[in-house]
Amino acid sequence: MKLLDWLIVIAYLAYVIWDGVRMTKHSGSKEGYFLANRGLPWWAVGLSVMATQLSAITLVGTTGQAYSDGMRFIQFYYGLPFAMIILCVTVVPFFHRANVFTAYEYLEKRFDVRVRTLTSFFFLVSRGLGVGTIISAPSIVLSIVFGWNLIATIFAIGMSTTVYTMFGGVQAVTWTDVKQMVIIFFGLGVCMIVIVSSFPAGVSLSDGLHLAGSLGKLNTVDTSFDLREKYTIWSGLIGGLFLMLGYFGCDQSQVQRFLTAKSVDEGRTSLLMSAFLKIPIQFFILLIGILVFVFYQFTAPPIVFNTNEVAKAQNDPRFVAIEQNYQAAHAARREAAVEFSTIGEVGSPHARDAYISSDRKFNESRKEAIAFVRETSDKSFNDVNYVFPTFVLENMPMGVIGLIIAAIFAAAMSSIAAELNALATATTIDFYRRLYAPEATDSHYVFVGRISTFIWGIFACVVAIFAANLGSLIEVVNKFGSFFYGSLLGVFVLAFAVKRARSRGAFFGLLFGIASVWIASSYTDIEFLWFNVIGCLVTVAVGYLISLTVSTDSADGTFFKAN
Amino acid sequence: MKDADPVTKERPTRFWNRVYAAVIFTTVVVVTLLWAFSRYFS
Repeated sequence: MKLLDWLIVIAYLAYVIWDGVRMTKHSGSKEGYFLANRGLPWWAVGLSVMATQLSAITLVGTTGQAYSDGMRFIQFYYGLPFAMIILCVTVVPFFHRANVFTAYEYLEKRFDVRVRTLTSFFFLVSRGLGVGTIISAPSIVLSIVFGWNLIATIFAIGMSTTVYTMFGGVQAVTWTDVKQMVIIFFGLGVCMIVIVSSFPAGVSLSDGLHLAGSLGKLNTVDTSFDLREKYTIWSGLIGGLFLMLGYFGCDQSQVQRFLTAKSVDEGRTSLLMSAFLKIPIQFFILLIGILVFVFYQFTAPPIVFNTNEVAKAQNDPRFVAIEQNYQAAHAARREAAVEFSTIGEVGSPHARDAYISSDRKFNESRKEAIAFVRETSDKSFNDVNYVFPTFVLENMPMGVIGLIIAAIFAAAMSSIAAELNALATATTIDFYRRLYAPEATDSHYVFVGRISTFIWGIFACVVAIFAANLGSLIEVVNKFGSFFYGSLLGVFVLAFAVKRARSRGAFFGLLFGIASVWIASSYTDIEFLWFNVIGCLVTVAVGYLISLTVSTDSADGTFFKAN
Repeated sequence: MKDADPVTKERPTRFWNRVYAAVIFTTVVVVTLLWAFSRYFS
């Protein structure tokens, strides 16, 4: 990194912290600190909704996933627009009219305090772990860039976000989200232009896409119905629908976004912004990963992008032969790629077959090299998250590196801030105010909110240290979510749609739902997106059956607030 | 309803049903275009 890159990153960090902290003056009351006085416009809330979901994991993990696995991951989002419609019809008006601070507060009105406390507790566990993985992604990038100690990097990223979230509350989170989204898209746009302009003379964007497409990297619709297949149109439409319903409708980090909107209509519009834009945005991000893949058809990629791991293997004399074999395989593939895209004209069956065959040989040589690196490595490693940052550092010009690092920071900080704010809100409102100090002053709750934000920031950093060594980070986060979201969703379905549901049923339904997901993940090959469906259905079924055992005259759950 | 604040006044259900229909239509078109994109470049 050159001086200009450093200046861009430092200027970004300084601005965003200043911008967040100056919101402190609007955060004196608990309505202001936790809900922005319910006065934010739809477009700011909508951008904040997208910024919260679009984390650094989305940039680093998704581009890496597109590089190694193609665009099939996009199917994960196919259920999102439908989930948004359902939420606009149900959850948004319910929560707004109930005048609640947290989603779980509503459950006490519908059931009782036990259900509220249990669901809020599971939210704290799942998002407390989730935010840790969100911090670890940019920390890995930084540790590669600067050669810093990973643990120190995690605390530097996590705590700088904690500072402005702690002081500025939800106003700081939302308004910094808006500016961070601008930085993210500007950075990605510039990155895409630079990659395409780096293709060899005579190779156009269309040629590059033909190369990727011939290897099956551009598959965006897989219609096979197999529960063991991770990304198909069915897992996206059904499993993804349940996950998005759980995430946007029951996760406080998202519910808090639309609770800050001026009205029900503005809350709805903010969610529908994602319904229209999320799939195209995700396509754009995946396309960057594909273009990186195309770039490396003409320039030899590192055998392993995780330079720390490959360094250990390089000390072994056997590695020289493996590396020579790898370089030769890449040279053959490059030749075939050039012939396919320029000399042989795209579409020539012979050139296409030769290219596919050379790619197969290249992958075999890489597999051999990776197996060797694994042998010499102390632990299992995952290369996916290192692809994009390594590419940026080695191939982007001065200034663009700084801009992309700032965009990765922006993506990380926007998500971390929203999560920390939501964790602090649930801790303060659902636990501290409800169970310990129900009659305290506004300024006292704001003080507790700030302390909670700080403690959750520390906790998330500790989790991030462990998460850094897990698999593809984006999947780790989604897996954490899938363990809880389906069951949490089931409780809200019982609350909104099942009049006969009682608190005892909701309470035990939730526990059975989570247990069923744990069993499914431990003893079957079912892919994680389906856990949301399983958790929700089991929670609703068990919750309903147990509710039937409770007398309709019983004090347990006779209350039903139709709103 | 006539005293409602213009900012907080809700649009009628009919309006929102049209918006939801537009979301579904757009999603179907986008997924179809993505499928066509895959087919064209494969």
